[in-house]
Amino acid sequence: MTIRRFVPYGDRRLRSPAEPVAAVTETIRMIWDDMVETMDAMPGYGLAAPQIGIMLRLAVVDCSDRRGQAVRMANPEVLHASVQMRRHEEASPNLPGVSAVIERPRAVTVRFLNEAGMVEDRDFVGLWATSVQHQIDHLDGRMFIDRLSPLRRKMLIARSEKLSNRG
Amino acid sequence: MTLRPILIHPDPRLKKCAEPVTQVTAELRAAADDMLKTMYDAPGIGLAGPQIGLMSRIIVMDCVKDKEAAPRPMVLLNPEVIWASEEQNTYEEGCLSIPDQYAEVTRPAEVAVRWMDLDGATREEHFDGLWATCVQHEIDHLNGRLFIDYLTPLKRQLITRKMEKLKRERARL
Repeated sequence: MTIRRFVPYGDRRLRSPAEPVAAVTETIRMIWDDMVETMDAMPGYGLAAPQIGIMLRLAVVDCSDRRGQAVRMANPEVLHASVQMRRHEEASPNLPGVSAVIERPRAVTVRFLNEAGMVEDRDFVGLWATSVQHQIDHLDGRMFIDRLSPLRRKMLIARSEKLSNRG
Repeated sequence: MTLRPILIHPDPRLKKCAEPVTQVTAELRAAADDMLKTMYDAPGIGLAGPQIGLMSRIIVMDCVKDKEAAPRPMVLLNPEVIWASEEQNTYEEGCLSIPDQYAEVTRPAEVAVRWMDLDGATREEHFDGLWATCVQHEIDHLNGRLFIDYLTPLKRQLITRKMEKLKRERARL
């Protein structure tokens, strides 16, 4: 397993929809493993394949207290979302140093191909739901800052750019 | 060229004074290449030997931020500030060894620096703006000093605790 590098903000891949996965193969499992390792190294609550430059609809999430509970997903899609919303201060390793409070449905039912390659429907609540939705946005070429006003988005991008001036 | 792991504060090696470079060896050249690659990858604009556990007086930097402009990778051996302006400049500094923490630090706005290049030649240059801040920040590393050492003890302690927590989280994995 290897820790992959994050593509920097401005890279087209963060702005492009990812391709569906046809089947869960050994290659897919290896990518998932790298994604989990990369997520754990941050540490972070989730990761989508385009963030490390792989244009496949793959995501991992782990919002457990002790970690090691990563859910591996291929082709995740939201089947149902709660009316009740939840706010969370979201951030992304592709845009280091900045964050913003984003409101999303508090609970979602997600259909995905699981590790065994089977279709699974699973309910996610709270932080898990926030992270899954954040990852699915990535698979559609969207980032959390796209849910902000253009002005606020511009400010965050400029700030992140400035914060990369570090030694 | 390989990426080297960057040490995270607190680490005793980040508190030590680095040794002067007496000879430009093949090993040191390889380290310089690795340091530049590691710096660009981070991404960052400067990196000092101690940050990768190399206790030699070597720093690398590139403060060209314009994506259209040509990069300017620099390798400085035994760098020393030989002149500093009276005028000060405050910049919100960050450090690759202290991820996600930023604080305003005031330093001389311009400095003249003397160093040895990889060919063993002595060089001098006048730096201003971001370059001046960066070169001083990196030379501090060679003397075991971090930007948080310019902050109040309370702020420094707060950041150090956060880093201890981050290291614990990373170690648990």
